[in-house]
Amino acid sequence: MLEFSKEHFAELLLAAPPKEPYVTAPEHSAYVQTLMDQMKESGELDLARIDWDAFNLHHVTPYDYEKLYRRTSEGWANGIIHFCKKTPVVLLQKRTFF
Amino acid sequence: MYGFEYEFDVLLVLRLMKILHERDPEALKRAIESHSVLTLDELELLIEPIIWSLFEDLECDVDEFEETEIMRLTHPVINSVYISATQQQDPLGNLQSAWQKKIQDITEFFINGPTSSVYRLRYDFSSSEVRFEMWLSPDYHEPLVFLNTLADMLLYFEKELERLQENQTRKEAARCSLQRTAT
Repeated sequence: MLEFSKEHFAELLLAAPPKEPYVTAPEHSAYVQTLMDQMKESGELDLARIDWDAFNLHHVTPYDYEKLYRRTSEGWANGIIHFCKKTPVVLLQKRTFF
Repeated sequence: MYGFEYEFDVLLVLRLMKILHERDPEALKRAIESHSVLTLDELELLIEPIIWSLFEDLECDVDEFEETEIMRLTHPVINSVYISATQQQDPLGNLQSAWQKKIQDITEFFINGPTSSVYRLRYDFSSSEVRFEMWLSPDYHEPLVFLNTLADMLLYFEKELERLQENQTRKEAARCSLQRTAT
């Protein structure tokens, strides 16, 4: 049976590619601003007249949208820490992380 | 960001449309033909054809006992990730179950994390297909955010597929060069 090697595990962690954001950071676009102004003034937007190549995905990503995922990541990390803290000390050969 | 009170909701609709435009501009045109004017009252009506175009194999059903809507979902990109990941050499025989767990983690991160729209999630893995079954909460379903996170999940799986294919190409090239040096 294979044994868990902490050294090899740490090596793999270090070799892992850097974490990429789930959503590209939102950015302002002058073109999308005109659409929003139109929506504000008339309460409607003619979708057929929109130039869909005039802006990118991050221009229509709402400010604070990425917070949804940040909260989830933090929640998951807290969950792992919680479970590790509940692990009986005798089962931990060494208290490396906490 | 744009100084409009309802910009969060309007941007989420435009975001879904942009995602569809990047994949299939003709499908977006067809969706717009059926509903060409965006108004604040009809935002949720408009995203329906968009999501049907992004997930062509989506099925909706009603659980009469629990009075909730059920979404059944499968997608060629997610299936390709599963197939291409589990077709690699697997000397220890753990690869398939590891990838099933990984796909479950990705799905739960995008579907259960950001909103409470789904209160029950079930997976079905066959040899070449991954199928999700989602029970939508009648009280906490937020369609605009939920469907955007569903689209984000698809983008994530697309990147994952690209990464897997690059890895396979690299491995293949290394194997060919080894064979050449051996001969």
